[in-house]
Amino acid sequence: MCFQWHSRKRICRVVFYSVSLVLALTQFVCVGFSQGTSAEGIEFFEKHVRPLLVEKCLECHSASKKEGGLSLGSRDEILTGGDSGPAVDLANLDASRLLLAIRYKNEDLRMPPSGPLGKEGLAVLEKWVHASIPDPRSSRDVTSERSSVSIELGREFWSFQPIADVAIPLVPGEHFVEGAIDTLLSEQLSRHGLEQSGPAPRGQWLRRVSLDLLGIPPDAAEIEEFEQDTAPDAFERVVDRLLNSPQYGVRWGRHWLDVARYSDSNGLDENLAFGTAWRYRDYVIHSWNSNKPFDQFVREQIAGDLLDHATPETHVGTGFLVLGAKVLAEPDRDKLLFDTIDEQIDTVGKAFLGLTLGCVRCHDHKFDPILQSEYYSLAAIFQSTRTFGTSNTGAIKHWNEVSLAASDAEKKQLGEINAQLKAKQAAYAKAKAEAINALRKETREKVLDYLRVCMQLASDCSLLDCEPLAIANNLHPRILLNCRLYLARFSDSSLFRYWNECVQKNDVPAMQSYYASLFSGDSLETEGTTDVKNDGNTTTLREIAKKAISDSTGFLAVPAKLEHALDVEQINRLNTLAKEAREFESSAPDESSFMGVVDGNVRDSIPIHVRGSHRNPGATVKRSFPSVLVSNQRSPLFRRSQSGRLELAQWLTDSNHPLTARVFVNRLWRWHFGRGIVATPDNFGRLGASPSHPELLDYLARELIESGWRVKELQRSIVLSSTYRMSSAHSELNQECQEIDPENTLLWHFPLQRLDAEQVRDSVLHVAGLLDYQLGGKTVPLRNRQFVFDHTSIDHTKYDTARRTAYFPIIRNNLAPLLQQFDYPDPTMTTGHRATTTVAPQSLLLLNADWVLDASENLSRRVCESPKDVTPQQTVTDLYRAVLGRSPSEAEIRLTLEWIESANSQKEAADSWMTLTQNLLIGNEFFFAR
Amino acid sequence: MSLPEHIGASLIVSRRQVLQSVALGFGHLAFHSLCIGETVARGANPLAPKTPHFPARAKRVVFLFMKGGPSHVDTFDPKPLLDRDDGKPPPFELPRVVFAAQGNLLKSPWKFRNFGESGLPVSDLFPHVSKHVDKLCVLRSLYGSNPAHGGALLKMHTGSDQFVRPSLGSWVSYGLGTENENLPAFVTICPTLAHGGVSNWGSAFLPSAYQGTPIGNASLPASAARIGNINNSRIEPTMQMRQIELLRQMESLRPDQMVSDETLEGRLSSFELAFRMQGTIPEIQDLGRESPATHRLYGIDDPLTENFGRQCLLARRFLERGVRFVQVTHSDSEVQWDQHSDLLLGHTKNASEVDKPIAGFLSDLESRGLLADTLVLWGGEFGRTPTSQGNGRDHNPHGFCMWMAGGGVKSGFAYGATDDYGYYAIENKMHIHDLHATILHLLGLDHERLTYRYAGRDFRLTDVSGKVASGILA
Repeated sequence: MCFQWHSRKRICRVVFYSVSLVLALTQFVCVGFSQGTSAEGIEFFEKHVRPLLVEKCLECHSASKKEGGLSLGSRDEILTGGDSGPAVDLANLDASRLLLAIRYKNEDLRMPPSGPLGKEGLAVLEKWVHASIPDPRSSRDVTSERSSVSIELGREFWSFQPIADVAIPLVPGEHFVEGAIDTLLSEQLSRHGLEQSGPAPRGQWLRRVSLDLLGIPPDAAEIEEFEQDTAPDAFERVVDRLLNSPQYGVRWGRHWLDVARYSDSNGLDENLAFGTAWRYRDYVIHSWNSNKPFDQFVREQIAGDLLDHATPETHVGTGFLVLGAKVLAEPDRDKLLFDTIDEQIDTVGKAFLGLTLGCVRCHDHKFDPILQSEYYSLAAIFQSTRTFGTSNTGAIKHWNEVSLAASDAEKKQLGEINAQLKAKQAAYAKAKAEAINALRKETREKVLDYLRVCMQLASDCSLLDCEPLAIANNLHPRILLNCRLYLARFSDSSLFRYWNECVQKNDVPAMQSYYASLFSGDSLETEGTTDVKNDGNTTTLREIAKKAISDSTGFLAVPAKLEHALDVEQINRLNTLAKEAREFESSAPDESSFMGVVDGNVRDSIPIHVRGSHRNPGATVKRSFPSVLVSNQRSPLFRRSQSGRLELAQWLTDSNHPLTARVFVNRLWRWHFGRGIVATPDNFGRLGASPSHPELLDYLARELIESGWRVKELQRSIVLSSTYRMSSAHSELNQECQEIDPENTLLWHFPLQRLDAEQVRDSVLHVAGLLDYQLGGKTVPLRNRQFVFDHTSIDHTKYDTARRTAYFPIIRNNLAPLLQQFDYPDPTMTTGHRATTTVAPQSLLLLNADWVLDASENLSRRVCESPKDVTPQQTVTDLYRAVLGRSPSEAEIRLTLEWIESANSQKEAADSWMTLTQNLLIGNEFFFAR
Repeated sequence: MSLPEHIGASLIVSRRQVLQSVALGFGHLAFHSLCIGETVARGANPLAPKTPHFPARAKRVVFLFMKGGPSHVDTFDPKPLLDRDDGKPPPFELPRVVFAAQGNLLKSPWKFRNFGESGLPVSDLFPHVSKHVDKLCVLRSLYGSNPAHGGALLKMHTGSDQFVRPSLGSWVSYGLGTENENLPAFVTICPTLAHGGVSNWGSAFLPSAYQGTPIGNASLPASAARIGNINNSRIEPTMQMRQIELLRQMESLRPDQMVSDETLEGRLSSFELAFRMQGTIPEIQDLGRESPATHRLYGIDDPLTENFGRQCLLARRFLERGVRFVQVTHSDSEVQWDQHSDLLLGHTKNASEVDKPIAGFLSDLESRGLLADTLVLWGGEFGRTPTSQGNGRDHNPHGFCMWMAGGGVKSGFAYGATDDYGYYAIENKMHIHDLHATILHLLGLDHERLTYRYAGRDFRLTDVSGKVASGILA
């Protein structure tokens, strides 16, 4: 109310004060009005235009709201226009965007959104615009308030600053502090009056670092051996062993796959299998195992095809750009192309720069110093890149794949397999058609029976009513029902009018003889009966009857659904054929190829898309990089013959780049400690978190670059630091620290971390002796581009593998239950920080899932099957050692044995050991790295 | 009035959030611990009931989703000019992007009649629902943008056809929590796994406590639909109870006590909740507890309507136990509402499978006094073109209808309109964002204030759009 009153008052005042302005204006604007006087134009505005604007436009297009940047609140604002340009063009009034919009002819420009104005309203605004919009409202001083952030000011922000050369202060008298990492951390701790926790027990550190570096816990023997190893380099030797284990790459490559939104299927609208994505997954795991320098790893993923020493192996890295979820059935191909580019820019931004560049598609970044024009400068690089292939599945487009130069023999073999597949699919289609045609034929032969039995059924009968009659007369219940409903619906049609008359008279013989002759075609009685169609042509009833009886959707239609049409035996036979074809396809080899991009038509410049719409091109921009990140002001030189990905890759890995190294070392820190130095690893912008230890972050970034971007070396110093070796316990002794820093932001104790989805399963299977440690290879049980899900919704994905969880098929739109429940991230978005939640479905899974029960059973059987003279105490001890790597206490032995003895039945007794084992596997001690 | 503090939560893991992420299962825990007699420390629960922004008209929502795209011009939006001009070329421009080539105008094979006191027209496809027409609020001016199933499903369920975003049901759960401590806030009965699949009921970046819990999927009959891992195939329930009791005792004996962390306690509690759910949910799913009359009302006695009847009855049983958002999907594994050809046969089949169950569901909700504060929504991901594709119709996101009932909307009322042929929405146009804004409004939530901070941005269901269709509020 209050607001309305104010605005009305303001408008009145404006009208009053601006008369003189209007007088001046109307001298040349009032062409549309007969006498050309100002008063007339203003009167027209006040009487017709203003109410219309208030009612239909100003809610969204006023100075306060400005949808699309446009306000219709004054003449000046209308002439200035919005994001797409002036609303009224005085030089070409009829082509004004305002008119285009209200005419509702242009699909991309229709206003008001609630529906067209109607004839009168349209006429009013047409007249008004053609009169050059006489408007008494004041030209409010609309300062062009830039909503974006200035580049120069933006440079001041911490993450855009050059990486500092951090001096390592000496901390005297600290016996536990060893390296630079510890010095930088302990300096902060002492500044806040915090005391570092003491070192963790050696066994605990071993379990922690094994889970961290390999994703699986050490066994009891390893723990004991390490506990007794007093050599000064005992810790170093453990770390080296772990870093050199091939299982290290499985664990750490998997971390990177979160960043790369890795998946084995497209997800989104059409879920086709990415049947060759596994080559990228294997490339990542191999890169980590081989300690590939991180800068090289980045360059390969952006431009692995363009590097000096490019190989198929480096080219596979560009799978990174192709793995995104795409709206493959999007019929607007231009939109699809730009949505895909947007996904690539967003992913590159988050993964390498920690910047939310996706925000800049439609407007300058609201919080970070990135301009919309800079987004399109990057987009030009990706538009010069080919991400889509040339093939398709119906309306579904395929992504780009690069062939691995198949040999002739391989091509020949693939040709044969494809032919076999086609034959199997055809066999199914043929069998299906035959079964349906046979049913149709049988139904046509029984037409008189159907018509007769229908006479006994009410017009709104149910299937339940049809069934007994159908059985008694050897008819198909669903066909009978459809027939009856059809006859009711079309009771006045020329063909069935007579049938209805017979129903009224209950005259079965008349009905039968009439339709017998009509459908058999040997009577003349009905000759000459005609039906006049819409187009004026006439048709004889006989022709109508002939058509009707064979109309697959007519009164004798067989059910559209196979299961409703055919009997169980037929269905089973068809299902077998369908299954054969599907399974053949699933296991058929793919053409040797990998997902990757190549250069397309190189464009040095492209237009920006006003408000993000590809239908609304604006000013043209050249390829370049966000200027806040470019140290010298000159724009970089792009090769004319290439997309610019190589320049992008080189720029990202330039040692002067303030973000790439920082973002990456922060990711490493997050994966080791469960929390980044910057708590938002994918966002280093203003809305991200500030670093808890800025100097440490810069120290690590610099170390990484100076070491030649070697990752394992950096990790080695992290896990050997005393910070990493601290205890996670903080009992009463640390009460004070607990009060100062309850969230442990400054790392005064080691953070307790629940195992993630992969660690959970791998560890359970590992201690149960069931884990398969094999590396690499295709694991998604689908052929490339095969539908994961089609309209049937039948889930054919299997997770019955014993392989490490990193090799699970990652099916977008339907992750494995384990992954869904244990905080696996959405594999369509870059994720540097997985959440840790506790929800009941996790417990349902741990209590009841077959794989957990199998592991429990397997392990308890193995332990219990030891020689006969073993005491129950020893069995409990063996179980504890196998799962937790330690022996149970006296109290634990007593508790568990008492429980085992208190079984209430033989069945319970038989299940006791397995259930105890399961408890050890799902309990908290096993479930946390500490 | 504003939402509780944690609703604007950020990604940064704070101690507070760790507490909140301990979603002690589906709901607020007030359980009686199993034979142990210990009380349980408990953090803030993300599913605890929350006060809406303003008084709500509806407390819960049920979405009867007809997958494939039921035709509006053959169901609830009669077009006399389409009858008149059957077979003629369309006298209007087709959209720039169409899903497939389109033929001439095709009249509806069904007759429309006026029903009830309101006299709203319904086609012969729905002889049972038409008896309830005075309860319906028919929305005739829906429109979206994506003409393909996948994009349109995602748009309808999540507001975005380009990114993975939280679904409508997740936003509602996030905004309102659940009224039942032992059940999820959001269940989806026999959903389709195609065309967006899990994303259509996923929580995306919202905490996973808000994700929809699927019961079966569209390839399974409703009678076989189960929540995953709800049974233990090897040990007896009594044994499992002893197992959980032992687990708690084992934890209390652990040497070298771990940091006292709420997460640890939360895990123990969630085992106990899971065990109780194993009892509760099968009880809800046991339709044998309903009378034969109720079975008949929903058409469960008739093989034609049995499956969807079960789904609807199951929905009612969840709704009356406090589940906030229930989706019921009709998505036959072979013949969905997607009649590019054989319109007559396919729509007849689909309509006859849902008609009686929906009518029975509406009667039942009304007689139990649930209809007044339950919003029922019916519709597909888009409508169909008035132009032909052989003897069927193509996808049409430019104008289509849905209907609502109960939950504070006008009844016996039609809102908005498509053009004379039913191709484009033209009057009181209602974008899918507007539909979402309106649903949230009915639940007492302001779609502009129901936000979640993720990756540096405040996200909402309606992105930057959405307008409440105040014309339909009762």
